[in-house]
Amino acid sequence: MQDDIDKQDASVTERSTEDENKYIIFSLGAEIYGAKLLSVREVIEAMPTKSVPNTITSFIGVCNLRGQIIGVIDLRMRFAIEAPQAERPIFLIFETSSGPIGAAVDRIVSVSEIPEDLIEKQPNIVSAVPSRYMQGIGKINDRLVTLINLKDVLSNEELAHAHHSKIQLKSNQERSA
Amino acid sequence: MSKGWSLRIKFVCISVAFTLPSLLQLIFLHFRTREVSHDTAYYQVLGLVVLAWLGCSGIALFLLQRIIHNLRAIAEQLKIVTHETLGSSQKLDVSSKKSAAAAQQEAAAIQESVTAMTEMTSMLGQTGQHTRSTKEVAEQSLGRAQDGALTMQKLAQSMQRIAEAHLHLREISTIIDSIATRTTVINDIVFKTQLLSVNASIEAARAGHHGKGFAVVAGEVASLANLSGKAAEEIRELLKKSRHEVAEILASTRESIDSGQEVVRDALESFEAITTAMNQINDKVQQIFEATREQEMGVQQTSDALGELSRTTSEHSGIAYHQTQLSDHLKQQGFQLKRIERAMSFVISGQDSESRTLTPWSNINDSVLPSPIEEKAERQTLSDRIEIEDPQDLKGVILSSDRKNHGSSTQGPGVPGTRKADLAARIIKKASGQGDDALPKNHMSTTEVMNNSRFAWQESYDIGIERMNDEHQILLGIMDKLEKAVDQDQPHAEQRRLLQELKRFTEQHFSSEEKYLESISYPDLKQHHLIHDNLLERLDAYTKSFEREGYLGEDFFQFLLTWLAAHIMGVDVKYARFVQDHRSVA
Repeated sequence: MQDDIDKQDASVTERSTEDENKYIIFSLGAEIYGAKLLSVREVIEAMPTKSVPNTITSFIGVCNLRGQIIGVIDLRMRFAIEAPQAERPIFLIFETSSGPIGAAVDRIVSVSEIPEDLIEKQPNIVSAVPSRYMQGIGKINDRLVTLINLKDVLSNEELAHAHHSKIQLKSNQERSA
Repeated sequence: MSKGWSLRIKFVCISVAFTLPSLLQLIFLHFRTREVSHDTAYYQVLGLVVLAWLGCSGIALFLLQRIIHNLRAIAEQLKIVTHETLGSSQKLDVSSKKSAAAAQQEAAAIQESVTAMTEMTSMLGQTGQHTRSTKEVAEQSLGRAQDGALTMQKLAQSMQRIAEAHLHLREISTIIDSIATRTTVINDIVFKTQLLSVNASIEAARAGHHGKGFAVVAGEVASLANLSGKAAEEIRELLKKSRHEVAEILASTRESIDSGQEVVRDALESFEAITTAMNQINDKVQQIFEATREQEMGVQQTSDALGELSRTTSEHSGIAYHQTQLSDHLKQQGFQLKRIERAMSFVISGQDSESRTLTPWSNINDSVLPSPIEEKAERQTLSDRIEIEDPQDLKGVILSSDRKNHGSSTQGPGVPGTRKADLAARIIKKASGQGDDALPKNHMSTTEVMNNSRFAWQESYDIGIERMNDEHQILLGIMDKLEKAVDQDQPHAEQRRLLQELKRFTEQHFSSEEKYLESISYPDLKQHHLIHDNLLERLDAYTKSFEREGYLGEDFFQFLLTWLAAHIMGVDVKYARFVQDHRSVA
């Protein structure tokens, strides 16, 4: 798996700026957010998770995606957005340096291209998202989208715990196997 | 003492007158023959003749004495019989007068009954009409009630159909529910398609240059998915709305149907009850209708009988009037008989049985009908002996009754009592032909009252109201004049004038009477007015027939009598009674 991703990274030279500017737009409560399309490995329908003890509260558990164990973080909890649970949440699967990780969002809005000039890199605004994860504020048809660097969020040291737990889980699984 | 000679002396005188010439002849013969011969036989013969003459005279005197005696006895009997006849004829006169009055009253009562019957007939006719119209209305109502019941039955059927429609609607509701479950499947597909398109986009982006075409496809898929999602959402919304509305409709129709069916049931029951009631009413009205018809027939028969009775009474009244005239005549003949008897006794005994200044021979032959002066004198002489004598007797009766009235109650009926006395005094004054100026000025003269007229004022006509009495008297006076004019065959113009006067005064009297009744707010004024109208109509009819045929028959006077009796003694007395009651209350 890791190898596949590397291969993809290798072929980055072939990608156009058009593809680079594509964002996946999703919603958390009433707000919409965007993440780079190329940073997302895939999107899946939420599946049952198994909670893992002794982890941060936003880490809702692990799930089994085609035999691969993936840890899932609830972005709403992570950004402390108070809103009722969506009917059918969606997991965005990201590749991080420490392996794939899932982010639960309410729903996918669209896949849109946002040119560089429509992105405000240093917005002086207060948001639920800590500014260090914010890539900027993009505009789609006069709607403002908070662009997040999810890879950074998910690969934060805070997730180390989670990752650690995942490793432990993995070792447990291996042991049981 | 009488200055006449007795029949005996007259007879002796006659005998002497007859025998004296023959005696003188005898004496003459004697002196003539004495010169020739002085025969003793001659003297003997003369003596015998004288003796025979004396004997004959004696016998004649004796016989005469006996005849006179018998004649006296007959005269005495004649006197008694005359006295009795006179008394009887007086009694007969009074009783026939009473009978005439009774006949008039009878006629009045019958007239009243006829009027009442006529009213009853018209009222029954009205009742019959009302019943008929009620019957029609009841039948119409019955028809309407039946129509209503039919309509209600149709309504009940419609309600049943609505209830069935309600069930269908409920089925539609379940169909909508199942559609809603199907749309969740669509939603699921849309969701998955969306995810698929995103993943495709990711893959296309990864593929870079080579994935460009694929990226377009992925985008199209995403937009399709979006469209489908929107459509599915709209469908879902619509379904939700429809379901909600259907539910509402179901709830409301259920309620409406329930209440509607109940109302229809109630209405049907009511209509059935109405129909039954209307049927009963119809039956009852039919019964009333038949009863009224029978009553009408009965009243008609009674009316006919009364008409017959009225005619009979009218005849009776005529007969009674005739009787009165006859008895009057009889009374006068009685007086005449009395005079004859007196004359006879005067002839027989040479003196009057009553001390009376009457020349014995003169008046017997030439006074077949006594002169009024004589008759009056006759009445005065007889009044102490004959018990019932008009009008002195009337005075006696009235005064005695008046006295009784005063004796029994000193205050209340004092007024009518004195009224009666007043009236009696008036009648006596009229009868004795004096005090004309003491009476109210009216058309009646005293002699007219005296003539035993049918239209004379009677005590029974007194209704106790001065003004009305006066007017009634004037009315009577005109009627009397009219009758006389017809009896004496006076000129046609005079008769017409009197008839016109009667009509004019009657109208005047009726209007003044009605005004008076209005002033005392008499309750039956309307009815009274109707009777007046009726009388005027009939009077008018007689006037017309007089104009046409030129004479007034006995039936006209009978009508007037009936009018007087029925109207004054019947109807007017009623309001007089009302006035008296009113006064006594006041």
